[in-house]
Amino acid sequence: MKGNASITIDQLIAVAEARNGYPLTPNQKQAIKHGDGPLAIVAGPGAGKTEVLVLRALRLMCCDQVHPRSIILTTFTEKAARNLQDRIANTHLALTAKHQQLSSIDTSEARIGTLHSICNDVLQEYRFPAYQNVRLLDQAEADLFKFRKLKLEDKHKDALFGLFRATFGNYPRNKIPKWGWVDSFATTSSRAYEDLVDFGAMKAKGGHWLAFAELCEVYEKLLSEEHSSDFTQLLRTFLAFLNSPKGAAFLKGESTPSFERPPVRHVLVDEYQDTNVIQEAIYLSLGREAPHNVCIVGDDDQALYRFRGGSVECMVGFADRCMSQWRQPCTTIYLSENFRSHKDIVKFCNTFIRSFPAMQEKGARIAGKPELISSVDRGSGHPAVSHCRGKTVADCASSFATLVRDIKKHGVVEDYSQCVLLLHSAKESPRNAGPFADALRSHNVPIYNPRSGSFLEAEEVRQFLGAFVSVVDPGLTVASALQSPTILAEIQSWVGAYSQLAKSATSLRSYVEKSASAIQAKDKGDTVAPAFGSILYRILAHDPFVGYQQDFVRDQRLSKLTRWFEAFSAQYGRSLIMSKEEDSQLSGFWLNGLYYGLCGQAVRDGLNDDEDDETIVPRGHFPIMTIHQAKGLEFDFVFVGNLGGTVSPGASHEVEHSLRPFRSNGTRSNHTVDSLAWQDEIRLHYVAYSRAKYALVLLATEAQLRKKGSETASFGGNGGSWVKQDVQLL
Amino acid sequence: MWKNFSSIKLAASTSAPVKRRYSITADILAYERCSLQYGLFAARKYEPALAVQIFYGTVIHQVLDRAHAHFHGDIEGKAKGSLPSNADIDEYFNEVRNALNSRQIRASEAVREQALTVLKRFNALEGPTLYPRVLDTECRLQTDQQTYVLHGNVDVLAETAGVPKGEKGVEIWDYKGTKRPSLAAPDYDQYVFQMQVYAELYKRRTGTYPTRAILYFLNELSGDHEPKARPTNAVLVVKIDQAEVAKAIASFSATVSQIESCKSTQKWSDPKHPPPLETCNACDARWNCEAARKMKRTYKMLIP
Repeated sequence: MKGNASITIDQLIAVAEARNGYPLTPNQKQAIKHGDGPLAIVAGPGAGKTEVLVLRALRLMCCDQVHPRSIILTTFTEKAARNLQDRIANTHLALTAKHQQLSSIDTSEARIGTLHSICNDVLQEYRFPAYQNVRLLDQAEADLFKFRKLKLEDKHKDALFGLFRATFGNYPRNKIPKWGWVDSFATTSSRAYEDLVDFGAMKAKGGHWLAFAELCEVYEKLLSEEHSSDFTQLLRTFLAFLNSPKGAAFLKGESTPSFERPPVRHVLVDEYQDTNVIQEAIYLSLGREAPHNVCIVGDDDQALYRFRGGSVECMVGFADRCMSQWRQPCTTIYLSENFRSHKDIVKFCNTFIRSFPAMQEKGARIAGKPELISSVDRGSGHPAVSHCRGKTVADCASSFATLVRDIKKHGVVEDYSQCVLLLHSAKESPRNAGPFADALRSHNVPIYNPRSGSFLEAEEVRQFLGAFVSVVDPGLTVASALQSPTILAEIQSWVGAYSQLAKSATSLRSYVEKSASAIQAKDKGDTVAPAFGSILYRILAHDPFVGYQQDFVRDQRLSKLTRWFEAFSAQYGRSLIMSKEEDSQLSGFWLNGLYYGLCGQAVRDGLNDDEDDETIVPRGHFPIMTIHQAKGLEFDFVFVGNLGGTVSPGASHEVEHSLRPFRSNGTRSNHTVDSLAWQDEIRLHYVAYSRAKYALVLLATEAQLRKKGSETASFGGNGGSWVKQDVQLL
Repeated sequence: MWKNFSSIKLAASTSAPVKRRYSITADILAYERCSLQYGLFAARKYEPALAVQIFYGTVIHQVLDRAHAHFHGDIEGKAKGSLPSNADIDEYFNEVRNALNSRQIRASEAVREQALTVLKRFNALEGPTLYPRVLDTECRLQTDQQTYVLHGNVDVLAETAGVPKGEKGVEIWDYKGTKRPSLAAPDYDQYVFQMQVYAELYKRRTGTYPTRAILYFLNELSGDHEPKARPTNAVLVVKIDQAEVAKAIASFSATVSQIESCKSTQKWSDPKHPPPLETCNACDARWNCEAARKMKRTYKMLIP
């Protein structure tokens, strides 16, 4: 930033209001105007928090002349970060049109991103020794790394099974597959690291705890030997960096002769309700210099990510942390005006969240939080909150699909993408999205459901994988010896799909047969190809894959397959080498890695289509989403289905509870696991219901509506009878 | 049932255009080289099968980055102001190589040997005069261009030798793991273009242009005999001229518009000029490339 360019906060607000066409509320203005010191902005759904965050960041740059590089702004996803960058840049353009002196400010210099991306960038920028030349593994690759590298001894298995039984579902000890152990370790070790547990105390406890702590050390050592890191270790490394001399230079800034590296002066954190303990420690470290300019934004009622380590208690207890850490009071500003939803939806949400005893417990919500206030006119001639019921889920789904088709047909909505169906899981199985997806399809409503988990069922995916397996393991010689019937069945079905295709795709068949023969003709230990990925592209060069690539959705799936194999290559090798022991077949290590590792992972998790990182929902399509997916979004019509589920603690609650004695700071609450399960389930429904702008439609069966408020979190504290009585039936 | 809602008519909203990030090397030059290949890998996100080029470029840049850090006292146990020895270069080379190997990115012995040789020669030949002048390395620069964000990584910022005291003269260095292209080669113009864009990025960050840009072609240091002085062809000095920089930025923006248009229609047109032959020869999509066929470049399917 150059020159002495600034405007007043009132000038900033005036431009923003003129651009938006509506005034900011007094509380929004107060949040923008707040000076130095910690600030908590508690913003209910639809309260315009993003606008406040954008204007607060611009106020720092344009009014206070804070160097953009001195500002760190984190949010939950890369998509949300890009959205924030765009909004800041576009509002800055509007400001520059009126106040040209601001044109020298380059807002793109502010560090805006997910906390992980910012940590990764800063560690690289400052060449932190522990993070030099490190490959950052994404979740799937980190799991594959554990699968390949971790050698679990009996004592480790005993520890995992003895301490964290809930992570194994209903498996008996002797039936747990390797992926089950890997999953359990992935879940529990991440949580232990994220909760900043005291591993020393854990070791001192001995027994299973000692074995678990040692296993964590083994994992860290393996990562280090392989120059790799995962998301959790990245945060640990960053915390260590902040406490190092290089970290001090980053925080305090330094001047190099070429240009200045400004200090960190402001930290703004969006979606703070889903922050975990280690992230909280990072934010408090980033803001440790007085006057502690850490501004958090979020809504404790919308916390959704305990299963990934999120700790709503960080948000609920932020003011206390400021006091205990810095002896500094935190200013709390509530944004309660709701500019999203019809007044009846707002009323429904207010009633819902307060109706449960679990939400009245101390520490469940921020104390003294006001109710949402309806602040937008969404008409009055229609039922804003309604329900649709039937004897069976299929009945509900059929009524729902008819309604969706008709509101589009009769112009109530212009496009299907203005609506959404929200479910706990979008997997297209009979107990989840299956009946609704079927009903929509039978009404000719095009669906957008990237998290259907049906990636592996797509024709082009099965044919492609079948062709590849037919090249590398002709006749399934190695696959036939697999110990896992599930994996074998999956592979056989791919080959079946390919064989069917090969009847007409003669050129492809010829390539596959010739290639398989060529491999079989090689000598033991020979290198067949330096990069097996080349085979993927040779398969893609044949029909029907050439044609498939003209279709956007199919092309995306084939592209994803090439990336999926890259994660595997990075772990198991790129070159194709013949077995040194067996005649006419590829290396057993590689093929078994492919089958047990990659295929095993896919069969276990199911693969999803990629989500477009720019478009929320493609026009012309009706979205089916998980409630987590809908975080931060809004739709004109929101349908919520599969209601009435019972509430019981999940593995994440149990793990959190087990690790509680070793937590080295007091951030986590001391609620019982049952209370935590209830609170999380209530928040999940609250998020779903508060996405609606004009209409919220609950889809439930008669049986579901008979559930009491003590059995399900779907219908408020008074249960389904309240919905039947007070919510209009369509 | 729908009649419950007949009192409302809700129009679909249009979403605001997305501002994307573009880099000179990963986007603009890649698109100019072959729009189809760029569409395949950068836009449609297919993963390339071959990673050999990644090895050479990564090793060159990361070892030199460590050599600079060594001289500036940023590496534990190495005295500030000391030149890295050949043993130090070996050590840094092995660190980078091991990290790449752990990603299963490997290179043949010949490629490794060549990289190590040119790095040692560069260190011995240029280190004594360059390292003391280095101000910063691997600088990430970016700037908002209203419809997109332009970003780039500058290898080295160095004080310009011979600038009178009190006047600040900073030059940009960019390392290339290749031989110097001929004047007529398309690469030549692209390298110059790249330096002009970096000059603009630097100016946006600091308010002034760099004095000049230096392209250093490390493979000019390869061969049987170790050069005793800098080979003439190792360096290409790019003068920074405001008008030329403005032209480069306009050209950058024009290419961004073309890419945006391809992205929105999801149609990637044939490259305007034939890509270098080695680009096609190494392309994963060459087996079925209509554009290559039109240029009489045909590739017989390999087995497997």
